[in-house]
Amino acid sequence: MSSFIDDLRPADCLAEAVVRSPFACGALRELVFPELPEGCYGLSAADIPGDPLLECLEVRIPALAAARILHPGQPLALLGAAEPGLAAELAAAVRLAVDAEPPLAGLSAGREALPPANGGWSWRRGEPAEAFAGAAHILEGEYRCEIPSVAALDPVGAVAEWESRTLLLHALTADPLDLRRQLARLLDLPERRVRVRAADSGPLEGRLLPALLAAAHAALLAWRSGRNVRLIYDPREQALWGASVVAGVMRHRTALDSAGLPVGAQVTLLLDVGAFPPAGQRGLEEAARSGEPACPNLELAAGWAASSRPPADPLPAREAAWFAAELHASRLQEVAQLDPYEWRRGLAGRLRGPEREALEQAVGLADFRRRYAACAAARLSRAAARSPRGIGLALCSQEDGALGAMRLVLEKDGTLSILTALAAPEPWLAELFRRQAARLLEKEPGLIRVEPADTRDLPPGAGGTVGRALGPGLRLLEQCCRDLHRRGRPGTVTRRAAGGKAERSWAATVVEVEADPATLELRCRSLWMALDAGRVEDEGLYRAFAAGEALRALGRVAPSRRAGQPLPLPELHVYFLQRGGRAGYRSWERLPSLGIAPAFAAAASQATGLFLDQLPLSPEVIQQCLESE
Amino acid sequence: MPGIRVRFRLNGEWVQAQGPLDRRLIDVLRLDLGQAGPPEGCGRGECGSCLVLFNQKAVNACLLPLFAAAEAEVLTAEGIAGSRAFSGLPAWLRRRGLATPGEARRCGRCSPGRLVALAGLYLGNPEAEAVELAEALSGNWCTCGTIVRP
Repeated sequence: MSSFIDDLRPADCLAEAVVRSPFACGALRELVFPELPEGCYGLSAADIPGDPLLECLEVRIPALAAARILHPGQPLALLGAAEPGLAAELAAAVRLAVDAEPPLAGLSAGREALPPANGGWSWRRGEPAEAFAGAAHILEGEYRCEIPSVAALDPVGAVAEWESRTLLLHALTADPLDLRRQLARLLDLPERRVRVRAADSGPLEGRLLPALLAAAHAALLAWRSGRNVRLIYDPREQALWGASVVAGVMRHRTALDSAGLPVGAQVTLLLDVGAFPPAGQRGLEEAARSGEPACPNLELAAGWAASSRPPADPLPAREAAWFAAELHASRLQEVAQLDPYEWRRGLAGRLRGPEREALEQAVGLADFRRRYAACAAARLSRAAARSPRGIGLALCSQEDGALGAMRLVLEKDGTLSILTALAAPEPWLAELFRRQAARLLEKEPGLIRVEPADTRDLPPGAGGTVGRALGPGLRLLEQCCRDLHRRGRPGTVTRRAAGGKAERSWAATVVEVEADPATLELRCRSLWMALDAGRVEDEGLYRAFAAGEALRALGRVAPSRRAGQPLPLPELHVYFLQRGGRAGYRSWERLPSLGIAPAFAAAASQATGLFLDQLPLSPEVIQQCLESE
Repeated sequence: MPGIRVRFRLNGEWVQAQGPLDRRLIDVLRLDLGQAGPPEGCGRGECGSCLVLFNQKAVNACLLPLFAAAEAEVLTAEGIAGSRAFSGLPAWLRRRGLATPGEARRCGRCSPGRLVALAGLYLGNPEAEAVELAEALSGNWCTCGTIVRP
């Protein structure tokens, strides 16, 4: 059984409560703690001994707000007491004096609020201006979306324990070594006095910032009090502050030739990740490249906005970019008066081998062309259709992570320990590595243990990459197992990821949607997916994971409003393009979810006859579209 | 809120617990008795993470007040896994095309609740088939999605 963060309960431990800002924006003039009973502790930004800024995916975020409040719920102070109830009471009694200011709402206000230095990222290939001048058609589209972070049943939190003079942090992290570095800086302690151990967790993508803050808060209070500390978000806190939303407006402008194929494209992305946008450009480039059209003349530009929302980690921005790019492609197909497969086949020379293969497999599996033609015909005779249906196609890709290190320790009694952060914090990765090592070394799986990622044991450079650890992890495992095999006796082998050019995985997704004719409630009837996920070692586990990602993505795209009823599940068909293992191992963790939103929106547009260009496709959005029609 | 002291059988052993009348059974199990088996999920009876067998019926421990547990028989996922009364459960599930919950698919957070729901059905309706299985698991969320309902 997994050991989650809320299963940890060290002896004699303080419960921690976080004082959060009730204001969206403003200047914090004064913060006064109530009289603290003996054995209770309070701490604000002024008490932080080291560097108060934490960093995650280029986002720099203060552990506690010092002078400026930038979003509602921003942590301002920490309270610790023996009982959680007392800690919460003391937190509620903290007196704040704030000069409140109006919040920054909306993307354009958020963009203007950023300093000119954060100018964004742009890139060009070919001559887009010339392509537009000679185009047969020009099509423009604006797409909006809000991508919530992944739902998880396990809470955000952290547990800090003192082991003589060393602070041991149990935290939700994929990179314990980086977290140790940051906590040592925050507490102004040498790194050797901080130890971080990754706890098991559900999906972490989208929860990285709350998890980082929780770790910092637990560490700060433990440092202040000299005692063990347990900080676990309760269900209310978890719902409000343990998750976040990435919003985006994506504009696509495409020049088409007379055959309906794109000859030039301009794409701009404006992404809102809340009050603390990333300072660097890596995330922007990655998002913009995610939906890069297959077009010879191309101009890409992307920028962050800084609104007064709680901060979100920027990883879901990739999903937003794919949504816009693939939904726009479905409109281009309509202009070209071709079915989506024919249109993409016209791009044949511009598609890479695996991309084409995934596309052909998904189209074949779903019998896409006939279904598309039937839906198109039904759309023309809408009055006769009882349950209007539509079908959509999307083609998406994901890059590998390039980081990581792994150490294998083979004992004399034949037991093998795998030490890596690449399996943290999701238990399914550890299980996959264990089974794979058993296969490679022809050992009993019971003799193999994937140790929890702990800075005490991890080799240097062992940082993981959330959502992209599978490829480097399995590659390293194979190399380490080969080394061990060659060595032929007990001992230790260590390997570090070589870096270099990242591998890319492709997925083609077909979604069939049915609309309720009375309410226009949308339901996914069937879903077909062809995944170019490299070598597939454990098909059962891979299939379950792909199904899970797809179903979660469906829940985000079209949230069900029928309380008390289970979500009707679609027929799900997943096909892996194994390609005989030629491609080796790849990361594809987020891949099954990337194509769901655009394929679903294209299918829903065909079923309802409305052009749906927003996410999520809630009843309110459909109502708005109906009214605007 | 007045305090009470109650006695109940937990996984076959008598235990005592105390606290306010409305203290939740999940808190008693997790905080006082150190049971990791029922993890807390939504905290409002929707997700089924914290299911326990309460007098042989699957009940959400987050909705059950401590006073209701007096003299009751409570079994958590750990208790079920170690109980001879459920030794036939894995074979019973296999015959119905299901694996025993507990093998983490992605995060494993919902596994204890699923095990308890199925154990409750195994006791209450040993002849249950696909429809009853689906119904028994309809209150168990898997938020990482890797567990698809039967």
